[in-house]
Amino acid sequence: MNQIGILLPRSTYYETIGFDMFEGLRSGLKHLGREDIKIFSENIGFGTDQQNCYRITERLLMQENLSVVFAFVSHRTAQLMRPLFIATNRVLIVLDGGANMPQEWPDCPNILFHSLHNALGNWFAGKKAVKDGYSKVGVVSGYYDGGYLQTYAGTLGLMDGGGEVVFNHATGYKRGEFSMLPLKEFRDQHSDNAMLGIFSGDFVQWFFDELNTHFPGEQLPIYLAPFALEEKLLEDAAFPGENVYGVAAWSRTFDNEENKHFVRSVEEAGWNANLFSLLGWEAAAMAIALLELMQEHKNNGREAMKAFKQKTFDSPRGTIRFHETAQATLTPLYEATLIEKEGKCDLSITGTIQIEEVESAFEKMIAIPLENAISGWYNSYACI
Amino acid sequence: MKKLKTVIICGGKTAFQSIHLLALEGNLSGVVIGGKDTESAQMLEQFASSSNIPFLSIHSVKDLSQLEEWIKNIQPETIFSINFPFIIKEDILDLLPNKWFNFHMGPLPHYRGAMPIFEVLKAQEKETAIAVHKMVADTDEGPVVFQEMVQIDKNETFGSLAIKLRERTSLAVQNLVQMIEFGTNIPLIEQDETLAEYFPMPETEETRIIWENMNAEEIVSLINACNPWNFGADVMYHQPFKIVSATAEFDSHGATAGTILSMDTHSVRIACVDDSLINTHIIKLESGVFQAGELARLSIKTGSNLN
Repeated sequence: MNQIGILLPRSTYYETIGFDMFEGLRSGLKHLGREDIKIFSENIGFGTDQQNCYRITERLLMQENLSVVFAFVSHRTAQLMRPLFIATNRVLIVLDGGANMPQEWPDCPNILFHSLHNALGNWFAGKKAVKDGYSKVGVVSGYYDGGYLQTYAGTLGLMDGGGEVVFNHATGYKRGEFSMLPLKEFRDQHSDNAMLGIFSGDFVQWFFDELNTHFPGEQLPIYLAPFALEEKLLEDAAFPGENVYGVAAWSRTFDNEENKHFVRSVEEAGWNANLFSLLGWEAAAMAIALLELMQEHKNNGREAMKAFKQKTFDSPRGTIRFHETAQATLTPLYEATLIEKEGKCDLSITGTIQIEEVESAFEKMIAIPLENAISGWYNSYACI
Repeated sequence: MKKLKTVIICGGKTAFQSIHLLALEGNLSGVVIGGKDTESAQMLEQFASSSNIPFLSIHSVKDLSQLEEWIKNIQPETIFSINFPFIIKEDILDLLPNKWFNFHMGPLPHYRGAMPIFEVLKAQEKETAIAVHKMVADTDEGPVVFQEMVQIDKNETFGSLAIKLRERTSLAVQNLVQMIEFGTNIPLIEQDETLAEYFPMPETEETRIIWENMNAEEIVSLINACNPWNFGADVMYHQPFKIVSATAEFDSHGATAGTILSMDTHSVRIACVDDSLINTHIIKLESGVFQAGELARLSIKTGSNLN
């Protein structure tokens, strides 16, 4: 059957998140000549209502009889949905921001994680800080972002490079409680240290505003994870200085055919080419492959998934391939620098972290025991 | 949201993590342990007492009537069985129709019976499952909700696989609670009777090495499947002993299966069919557990044949 399901989130600071994701998927299917595939979309809000998420999935699988479902959900919600996919032997592709460590993802042959790898990007950001000569690094994060193990991933990357964390600061939740004063106090005594920053959404702009307030002209060395380098969001963020680097998952400026098609298709439809529409776009090619494999394997999801994992896909951010043992996709990541554009921020891609290096770091990272470290949030990442 | 009142009936340690998890989540309304594992029963009773959770210990089949009264008092909404050693009769199942679920430690319908962990290892399966199924009067025959697949590693023993399954059982328990709490219908798939096989409790015949029929890998799988519950695989040579640990090798030895090819303190190499051999490391005699070289105590030497 040519039909798929997608569970879409909503977010206060990424207001169009669900629309972007859906449009990415729709445009991707159109680009691949498969507009005939019917999309059942469902709104799951912030992804915190477990019963709602479960019931929607149950209905898609057992009443609509869908065999392939995509969902932007947390690992906990994926865990909740897991028995339904095992019981019906259908497949779930979790579209994921990657704020959690992959060790937290449920291990299930019917579920695969397709991620923007924010935690892994932060691992590389930590390593880059050390490589650039900063062995003692402070970690600053937003109240919300700090509740995910991506902060731990950054620390691990830092340590893997031979560095150490000498300062930690998590901000308040509201703009009025968001302050970098503790960072200023620290910097007054340790002016030679760099900062690893983990922020998303409005918190990125707040962070840059605070840097401009407390450190005017100081060119603080800052290293950022992929979500802080989301270009649409950077367009409205005040430029914080020349020394801001990071690791990005994607850039709208990539000069490859797939990216050109993606950006043009989504924007012509009146939506944003951003990380979320990217996930939707990538899901389109996966959906087509999975529907074919489900048919070939007579709706045996476990067998279809085994065959699916042998495939590769061309994406606007490079080749997507699957990790051999983990139920996860891997893509290249990109080193980036913030540049000024009329007082606001723009992104300059300075290097590619090839997929082999990404895979090697991924394997190193997932081999590290979490030792009771757990994420505090239940919602889909970036959905508050 | 109202928490599902769940009772766990179990046979011992396999259920401990699940019991703790349900208690933590506020879903546990009672615990029953069956059989003669007094150490587990004491630990559970202590836990239940400190958590203010009703507890019942049933030592034998004839005490099952206590269970009926106990359930009537507790009035749970569902009952999960994890390695409970006694068969629950229909009249007790009828106290809570369609609300009894068993967590069977092997894939269904292929591995029905009392010791699926032993059977899957002996059969050299690459993966097994915790089969979550509705309980019916006939053992292991109810429709399956889902099967939690678990990889079997190389050189996996009965003990190591049991621990792995124990850890995964708590996840399956949590999932089933959520399915009942959140779902409108529990998916139930009838078992395909044409694929069904029932394995009774293994007896010595099933745990004994048959040198003339088994190659080295089959023998090592049997040894691992017997370790530690039976200490190891059984061998009869003048008097019985067990092989606790061995590895499989291949070599054109040309000897009759069961022949001792070489022996020293740490290892005894024994010929098997198909030009294979086992390198034996640990054995168990009546007098204790030893390195393989102690087989000399049974007058076994290079050239002896164990058939």
